[in-house]
Amino acid sequence: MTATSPEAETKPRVLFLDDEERILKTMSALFRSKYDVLTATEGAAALEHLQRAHVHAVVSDQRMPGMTGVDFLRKARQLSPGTVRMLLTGYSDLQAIVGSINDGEIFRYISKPWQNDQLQATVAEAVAIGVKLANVKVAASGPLRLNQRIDQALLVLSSQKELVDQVTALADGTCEVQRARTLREAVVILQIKDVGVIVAEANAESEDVALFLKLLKQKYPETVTLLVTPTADAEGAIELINQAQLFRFLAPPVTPTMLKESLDAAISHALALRATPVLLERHTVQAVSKEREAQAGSWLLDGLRTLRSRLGLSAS
Amino acid sequence: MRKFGLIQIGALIGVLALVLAFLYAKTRSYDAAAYFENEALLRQLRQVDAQWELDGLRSKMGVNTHYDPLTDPLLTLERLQREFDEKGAEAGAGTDGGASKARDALHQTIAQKTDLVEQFKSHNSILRNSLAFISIAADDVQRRVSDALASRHGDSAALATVALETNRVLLDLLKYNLSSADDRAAAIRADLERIDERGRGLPREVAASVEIFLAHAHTILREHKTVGDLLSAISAVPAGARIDDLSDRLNKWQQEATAQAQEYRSYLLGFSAVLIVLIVYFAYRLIGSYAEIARVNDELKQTNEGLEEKVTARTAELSKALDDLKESEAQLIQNEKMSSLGQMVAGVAHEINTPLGYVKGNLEIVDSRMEQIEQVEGLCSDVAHMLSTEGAKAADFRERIQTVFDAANAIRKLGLAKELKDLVKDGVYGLGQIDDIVANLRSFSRLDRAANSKFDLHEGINSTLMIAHNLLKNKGEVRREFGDIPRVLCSPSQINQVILNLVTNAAQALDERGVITITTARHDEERVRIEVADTGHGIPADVLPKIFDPFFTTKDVGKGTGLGLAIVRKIIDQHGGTIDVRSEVGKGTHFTIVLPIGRAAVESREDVEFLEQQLQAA
Repeated sequence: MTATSPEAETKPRVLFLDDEERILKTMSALFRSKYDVLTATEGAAALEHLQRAHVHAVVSDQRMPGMTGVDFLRKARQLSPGTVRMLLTGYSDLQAIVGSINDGEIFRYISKPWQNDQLQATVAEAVAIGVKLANVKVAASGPLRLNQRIDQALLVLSSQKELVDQVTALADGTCEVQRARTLREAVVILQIKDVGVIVAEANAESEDVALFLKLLKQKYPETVTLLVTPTADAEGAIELINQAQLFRFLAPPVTPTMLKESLDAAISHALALRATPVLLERHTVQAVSKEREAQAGSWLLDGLRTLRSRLGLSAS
Repeated sequence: MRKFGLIQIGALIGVLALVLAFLYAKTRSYDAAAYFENEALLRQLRQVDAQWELDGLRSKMGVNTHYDPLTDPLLTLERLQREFDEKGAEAGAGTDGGASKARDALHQTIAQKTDLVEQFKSHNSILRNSLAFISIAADDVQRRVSDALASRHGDSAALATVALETNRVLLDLLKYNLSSADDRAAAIRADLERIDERGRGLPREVAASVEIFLAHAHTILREHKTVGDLLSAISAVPAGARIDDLSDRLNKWQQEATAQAQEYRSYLLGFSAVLIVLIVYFAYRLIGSYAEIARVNDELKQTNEGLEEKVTARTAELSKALDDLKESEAQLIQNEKMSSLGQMVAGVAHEINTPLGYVKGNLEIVDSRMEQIEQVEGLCSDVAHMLSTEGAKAADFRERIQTVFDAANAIRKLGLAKELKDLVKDGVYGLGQIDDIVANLRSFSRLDRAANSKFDLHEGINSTLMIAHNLLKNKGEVRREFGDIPRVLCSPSQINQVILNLVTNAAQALDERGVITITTARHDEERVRIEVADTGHGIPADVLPKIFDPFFTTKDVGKGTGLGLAIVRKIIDQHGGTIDVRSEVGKGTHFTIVLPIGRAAVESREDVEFLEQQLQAA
């Protein structure tokens, strides 16, 4: 780290939002040498910053008077979709985490207290992506009406027929719906079909759907994933953000409205990812630890490897 | 059995008894002893009758010189007749028409015979008299004839003939009396005619004696015949036949009676058999009933015994259930405590994590900035070294000085000194924050204080609000309107728990940003008041009375135990205080707690245990 600093205009812009001013001071001290650091103690002020100038990355606290972090991030996503969003919080509230996935579509979830170097690395990564996305026109992944036939298939990984039927009914012929009862079946389908969206149901069986999603996303970021799970813990959900870039996290009972909105968003997002590959940058995931990866069967790892080579997709 | 009424059973027993009595009477109507007595009487009658006839014959023959043998049987006969009449009636012979007639006939016969015997007695006495006097009369004739002959008075031949004739007739008469031949009577009568004729011509004395003789002779002839006739008539009277007839009838009747009695006896036997069968049947039923009753009794007894056991067992079960309930109640209270504790810990963790985050970050930044400072320090050392070294070139020296200046300028330009100062200052502040939080935690739990102590409620409220800060900060404003109140004798940790619970509820009741107001005031001389009011959505009137009930909750399953306010009320009750609530939907809820100032919260052993539990949980 050098004391010399480039001109402020050329430095990427990073916004920090926290109701504790001292946190902001620390952030400022930590990042001002590299980035143009903006700070706000309230959601409203932070949104004003976003409106005033393009911000490459934003780091928000969750618990704040007035507007919560998730509320702010949802608004930030609509206001500035190209801004990479992160949550920095000391309170592992599952509801907040799920909200940050479904509403905030955040890039990383960081816990307080943090390690400066890790935080710097994460922010650097986010800023780099933010810089790449800055010049790309990104439509907010709102609910696009799907009225034309889509080439991509939709894979439902579930042992329950119910969910398959629900998804099939909602797809209503606009795209092909494939069903996999097991991970092996899912891998086989992924090898022969161009799957854009996966709706996975975490069931009581021993299969590690979360690990599958993480490994898949790591090698195949084009896939937009939805997870339906009745059992969720905060830590697992945080991992699904950071390591799997889970698009939607659904807790039963899954209402048709909820499922339809999620599916519409996922399909349009998948289409956007295909149309604008640079968007894939946003889906960069943290590597799964070696120990964790070792828990996956070699068939799964091999299956996922051949998948990538078959489709000839470029690694991010 | 039950389908028969008492009346039917009584009627049945009555009919059976009547039938039995009737049959018994039928078998008893024939008296064998009476029959045999009658038979004996009749036999006696027959003997007497036979004896009587023999006596009559003897009398006629003159064997019996007196008449007693003839009259004795008569008396005996009459006595027997009377006896028989009595016995016969007694034996029921009178009921039989045939026997009755036979008995009447016997009566008649005996009466007839008695009459004949009376006649016989009188006639026979006349006959006996003449027979006794005729010999004397014949002797008188003989004497008179001898006298006449001697005096030569009358015809002597005629006299002799009369005397002769008289003797011959006397002999014939005596013979006749023994043989009773009728031709002899006629011859005698002819002889008597002749004597009479011859006697008329004789002297008067002779004729008178002949006349007497003749009168006697005629009487003998007449009476002898009458007596013979009477005897014949007596023996002709059919007394024996009548007796036999009666005997036969009696016999027949006896046989019939015996047969009838036999018949009824068999009926009685049959009836008795039926009765025995009935009795056996009812006895069987009775035994069956008794066995049933005994069985039911046994069962009752067993049930009674079992009941006692069951009651004991059930009591044990119940007391176990009560124990379990108490245990699960304690468990639930514990869960509630752990649940609110968990929430509190999570909140406190966030409270600590925030200062911890920037203290740590700041220190790391300070650490990284040290490099630049160390660099300047190194350059300064070099300059100092050069100054102390002789022979150093001025140009080198100037260059070195310039480097130090540049480095120092860079630091100054970055504002490093101020930045480091600020970072350290913030770091110290952050540590102070953490210190405060820990102090508040300790204050909240009051583990360092006695269970009961004079407690400053404001201190408790402040520390509680600190603990709940994280929960409250994005919910709304907290106003503290503290009055002048004395310290209160209470269990601080429990009162803090109460305030935390009410504040937490208030925060949850706020839909959007609202106000939570905590007011303290002196209620009266002996009590203080704590009010917790919110401007939240309020509690509906139908729910309000239930909020202090255990397990009542409006939260989703698993989100709340429903024990929070129940525990609050329990704690306040144990402190001798009161808690009231009023609420209006859309306006907010207002809790009012009134606590005694000096009252010891601990009143009983149980309370002490409860308090200890609470303390441990806290």
